[in-house]
Amino acid sequence: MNKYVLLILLTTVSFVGNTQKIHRQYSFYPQEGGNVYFIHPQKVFESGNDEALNKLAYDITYLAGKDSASFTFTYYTHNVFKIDFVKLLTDKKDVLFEGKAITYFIQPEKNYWRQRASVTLPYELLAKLFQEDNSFIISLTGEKSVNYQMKPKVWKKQSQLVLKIFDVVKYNS
Amino acid sequence: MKKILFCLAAGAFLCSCGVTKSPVIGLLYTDVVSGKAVTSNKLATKVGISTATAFLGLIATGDASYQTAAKNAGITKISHVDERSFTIFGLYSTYETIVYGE
Repeated sequence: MNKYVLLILLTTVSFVGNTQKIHRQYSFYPQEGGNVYFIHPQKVFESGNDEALNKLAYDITYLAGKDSASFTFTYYTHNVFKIDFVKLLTDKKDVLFEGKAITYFIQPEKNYWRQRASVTLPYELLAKLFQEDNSFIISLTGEKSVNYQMKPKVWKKQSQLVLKIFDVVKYNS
Repeated sequence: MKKILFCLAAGAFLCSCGVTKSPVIGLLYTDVVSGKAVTSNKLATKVGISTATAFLGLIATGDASYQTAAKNAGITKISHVDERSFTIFGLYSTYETIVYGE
């Protein structure tokens, strides 16, 4: 009996772990004025900064035909950390993009703060970022600065997933 | 024979414990997207998600409300709402509310 329980649990963990199934990672809504593509939240960016708790989760919304996409993210910190700017850097810390952040909300949860913000950036740049060999760095800047980056193994899977979704955008536009 | 019947009954009971609401339900596996609501606002330029999760049919946490999904994307005018139900063996379930709007 224990073997069967173990088998069921292992299968469950395997199914749950396999969340890379692409149909579960994006939504596509056709409408007049341009299809809307939405990459579901991906909790993959990590930070070595003591102030940052948990991983940063990002999602992308793109309205087909527009030059820009909306890069929205949730981040968790010990204290309130309101950001003014978002920078995207290469692995070697070269600045690729800097944009003004729009804060959606800042709210307390248990013993930390959950914050959600968004930045608008060129779609072409976004598509190019995910073609790189190494993960780009997200630098959140307010009174201080906190950097987030994906681990190499995570980046490999994540970039493949996002590029495949960008292919969906390309073939349906 | 009794053992087999007991296992089947226990399995069915366990599977049904953690099943989320969905138009069609699979006792072993459910992964279904369906429509939930629509408004007269046609345009959708933003999309937001809110999620609730259950483990073993015993513990359930999260916030899968329209309000949270809209708040997560800065949506003030909702166009339509979809839902996604995912369950595996009734042991792990997620329920997502996906709000489209501007």
